[in-house]
Amino acid sequence: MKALRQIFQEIRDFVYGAGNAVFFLGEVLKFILRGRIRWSDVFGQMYEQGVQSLFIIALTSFASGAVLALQGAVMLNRFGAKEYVAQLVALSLVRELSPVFSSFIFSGKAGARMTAELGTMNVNDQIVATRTMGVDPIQFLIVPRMLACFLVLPILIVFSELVGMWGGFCVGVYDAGIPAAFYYNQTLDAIGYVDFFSGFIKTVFFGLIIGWICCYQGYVTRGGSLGVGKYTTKAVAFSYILVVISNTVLTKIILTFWK
Amino acid sequence: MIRVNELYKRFDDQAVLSGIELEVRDGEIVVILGASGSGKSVLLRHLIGLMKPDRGRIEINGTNIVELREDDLLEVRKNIGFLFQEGALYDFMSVYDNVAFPLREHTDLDEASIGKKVRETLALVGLQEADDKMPAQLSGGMKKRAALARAIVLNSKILFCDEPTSGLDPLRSRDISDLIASIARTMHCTTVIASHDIHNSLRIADRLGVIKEGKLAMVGRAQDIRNSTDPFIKEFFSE
Repeated sequence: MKALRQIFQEIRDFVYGAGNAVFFLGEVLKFILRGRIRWSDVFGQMYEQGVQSLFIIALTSFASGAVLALQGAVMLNRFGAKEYVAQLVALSLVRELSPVFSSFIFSGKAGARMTAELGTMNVNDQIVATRTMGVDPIQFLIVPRMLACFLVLPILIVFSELVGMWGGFCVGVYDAGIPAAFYYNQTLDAIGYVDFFSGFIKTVFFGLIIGWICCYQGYVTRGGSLGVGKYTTKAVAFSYILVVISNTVLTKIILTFWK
Repeated sequence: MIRVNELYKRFDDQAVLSGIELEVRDGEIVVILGASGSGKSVLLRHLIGLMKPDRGRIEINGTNIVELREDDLLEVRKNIGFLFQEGALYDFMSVYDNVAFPLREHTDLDEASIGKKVRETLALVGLQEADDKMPAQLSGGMKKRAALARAIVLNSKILFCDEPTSGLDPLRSRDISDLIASIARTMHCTTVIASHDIHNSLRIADRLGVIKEGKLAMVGRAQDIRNSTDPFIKEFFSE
């Protein structure tokens, strides 16, 4: 009976939390649609979030591209199709790997920072203090962060795709022995308009999801420094889960209507 | 003028406020005393509209703020200064920017005028040398002074202070209490302070209220409180 009550309580809390999160998103969108946006803060946040994630995204993207080329060269060589390594690397990165992996990294780096920052402000009464000074904390603290996240992630992902392809190029040319000009032309030929935008559209959704989840968790953080740790972990975990689930749904939708 | 009538608030099974009645006249300093967890801070948060009561009225200059929506409350709060227990300064802004924040948000002053006003206000609280410091570099007392400067920089006529002396040594507690009283008198601020610091409260308050079981057990001048025969009041002030 006790266990049942606990399960019921967990479900109730989850539904209540999800409802609040949707309401929170509505509040944020209300400010954005009314044009009440502090652009200088948005650009400041874009710079912080972008710069913060740039190096680690470059590193992992280069490594991903390189590994794809290494594995691709071995596999395709068995079928005598080593020259298709460039296509394999480019299409994998642009359609799936860069959008998903870079979103994970962005969420773990910039997203976690956002949650921890807002959570600390919350437990130190800084968010409440904003309200006591007659300023809406959603407009002042949340809108710039969410909007920056939404705008900067697609830029980072395009950057990730380019660096990843360069990683593949280095392996393809210097390890697999594919001529540089051939590899370069194959890459350009491989990526069509559809391929690029099918990945790009996803990143727009991922930016929205990460900004929303991470800002919301920071905004509702309770329980002092322990709470900040708990809500930050929760924000990153929820972001990963929602990115993976929405990626599956979006991929199916894109492939259905736009092959 | 602040008028509180029949204010009730419960959290789950616990009644925190059970029919608070209070009137604070213009320019008056009223200190609400009570044991930890007695509801002093909850009362203060109701006065500025951060919490909605289950029942009751809170009139600030004739407006019942209980009925206001958040957008209207934001307008009301522009005329109220609130000093938090730990200061609640933005830790990503310098002291200068923290104090300038309300001016940048709610006035059309240019940066030069804002700078002048910020420096004047910081001088008033004795922090003229700390304007470029970040909150993390300040001591507890300095943080409260900076937060007080931010609370009064718009020349608000109402000031609420939540436990302004908590965490401070006796000398700093006396200094910050005197500073609040001096500023409140100079600026003719209607001031409500939630505190458990009996000694300093008796020195600076025009009137004091003592919360017991969610109600104000007594509201009166320091002399009236000292002469009270109520066993709870006597015990509370003998601590």
